[in-house]
Amino acid sequence: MDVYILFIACSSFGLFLLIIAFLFRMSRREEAINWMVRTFVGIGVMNAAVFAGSWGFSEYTWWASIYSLLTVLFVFGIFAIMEASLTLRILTEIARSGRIEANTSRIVQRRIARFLYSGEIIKNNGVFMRGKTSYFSIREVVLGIFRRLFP
Amino acid sequence: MASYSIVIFCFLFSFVLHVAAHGIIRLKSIAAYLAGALLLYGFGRMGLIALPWSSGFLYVLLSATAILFYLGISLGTETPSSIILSSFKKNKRQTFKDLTALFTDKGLIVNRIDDLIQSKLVTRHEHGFFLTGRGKIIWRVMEAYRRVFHRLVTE
Repeated sequence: MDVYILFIACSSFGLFLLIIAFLFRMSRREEAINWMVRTFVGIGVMNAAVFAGSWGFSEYTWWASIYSLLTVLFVFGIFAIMEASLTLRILTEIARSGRIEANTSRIVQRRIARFLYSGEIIKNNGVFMRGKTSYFSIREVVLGIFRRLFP
Repeated sequence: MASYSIVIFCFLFSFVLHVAAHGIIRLKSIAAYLAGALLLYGFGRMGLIALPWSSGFLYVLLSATAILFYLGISLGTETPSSIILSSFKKNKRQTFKDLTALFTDKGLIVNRIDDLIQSKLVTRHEHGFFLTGRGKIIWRVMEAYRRVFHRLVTE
């Protein structure tokens, strides 16, 4: 059962990666987080249905913990860094042309556009205000806790 | 579920040790998670762990998640996105000019180029910048990610 649970959890994560790789090709880039959450939940529900009757609470807990943590590491580690790291953006520009074209105003503009789309920031008569909390804000909350624990 | 509780206990032990080492003796190290791994191994040797592979893997994942967030704060690289969002705590209504004023070219771009040079990922030449061997490896990883997930590299 040990290796079996591990195999199913890793396979579920592999399926998650395959599905989002496919979905990312078909959707707007701002919708990436929403698609990842839907895929994550969808695989969870599918797994619960497939193993209903043969798995107990213990097996589900093991599977869900491993699958969730693999996804968290991907989303907050690889995805967040690859998508939002300005340092990597600069590295990319150097690799392509040896010059750096990024400028402060454009960087801020792009991020505001992203926040407006996700609803984290709302705009009213040229004034920006904080909107709803998105999935990505979870990272900020966790980082806030870590900043307090590791001052 | 006993194995699960043991894994959580070992992780919490490591995490508390990590917080204490950081807070009391200012030790900026992630070695505390090795102590938890040894503890977990000890429980395994005592025959208390029914699912050794899953337990080991779960412990590694929990530790990796904690280390990921720890590195996120200890490297001191607050992202422009988090700076923008946290600025709304102080000032609830801001214009584009206010938000742009949170950044300077030096803080946003020049310091990052210096970090890349110090990390030996980039070298500065007369006619511009070049990637080093290590920089090229990272660039290839990014290209692979971009191809697999069909993502553009963003700003």
